[in-house]
Amino acid sequence: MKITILEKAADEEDEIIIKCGYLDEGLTKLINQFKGGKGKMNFYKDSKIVFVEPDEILYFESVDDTVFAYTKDCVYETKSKLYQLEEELPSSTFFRANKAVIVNVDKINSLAPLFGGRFEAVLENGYKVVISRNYLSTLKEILGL
Amino acid sequence: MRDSCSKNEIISVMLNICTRVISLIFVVATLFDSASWSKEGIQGVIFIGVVSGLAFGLFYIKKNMTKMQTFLFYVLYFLILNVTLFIVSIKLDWIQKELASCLRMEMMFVLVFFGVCVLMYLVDFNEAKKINQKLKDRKNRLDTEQE
Repeated sequence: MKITILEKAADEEDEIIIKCGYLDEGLTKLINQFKGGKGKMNFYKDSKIVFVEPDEILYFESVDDTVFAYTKDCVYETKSKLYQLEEELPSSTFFRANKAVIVNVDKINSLAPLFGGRFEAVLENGYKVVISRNYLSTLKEILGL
Repeated sequence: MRDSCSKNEIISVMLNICTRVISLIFVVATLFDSASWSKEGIQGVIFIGVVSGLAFGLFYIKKNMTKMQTFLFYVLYFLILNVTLFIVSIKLDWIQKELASCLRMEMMFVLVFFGVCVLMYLVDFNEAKKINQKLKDRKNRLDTEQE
């Protein structure tokens, strides 16, 4: 990658220009840092990059190889895979509920058992997520049970 | 974060089911029959309990089953146990080869099967209650911190 640093005029504002063919994950993370949005996650909505606090996310869902992040009122797309998100997200708040979903513990309203040893979590937006018994112990660990 | 699906958990669930089935068979059989148990009879009940526990492993073959898949696995599980019970029953002369005797055994089996299902649901219900309480505590703590 070529890096060019130019001297600006005294009355000009600092400026970073990124010249690339495709805005990949690494570059968007860099932009995120420069924008001062450290801690925020970058998603896509209508081909635009948006920055969202992880606290606002209710859950992530993988649908046909694309991962979506759901907040109370919006759905965003992310280029990250679920396993990458699992590594990035704080393990004290987010946990894998089943193969296709990562849930924010703080956004769970209630939990109910289903026949077959599974549980159903009702989130703040009313959405229901099935928690496999295999993943339940992670939730219990987060809650100190 | 980590995927905490462990073999220990599966073994623990299987053992749990095994002991519940054995206990319920003894309870239900005693209620219906006031049976006195022979050595072979006790071995038969233990065998059925072990098969029930091991067959429950079916539910761990596939992760994240849909409701329909869970239902089908339950039907399969029910059939495996039913066949095992009838084989043991015929071998140990618990039933005669006549309809009334078979129906009586089937009725007891259904009672035990659904008894175990209800017990498991109640255990899960209790677990969900504890988790809900913890979730509530956590929310209250977060709200207090934000204020």
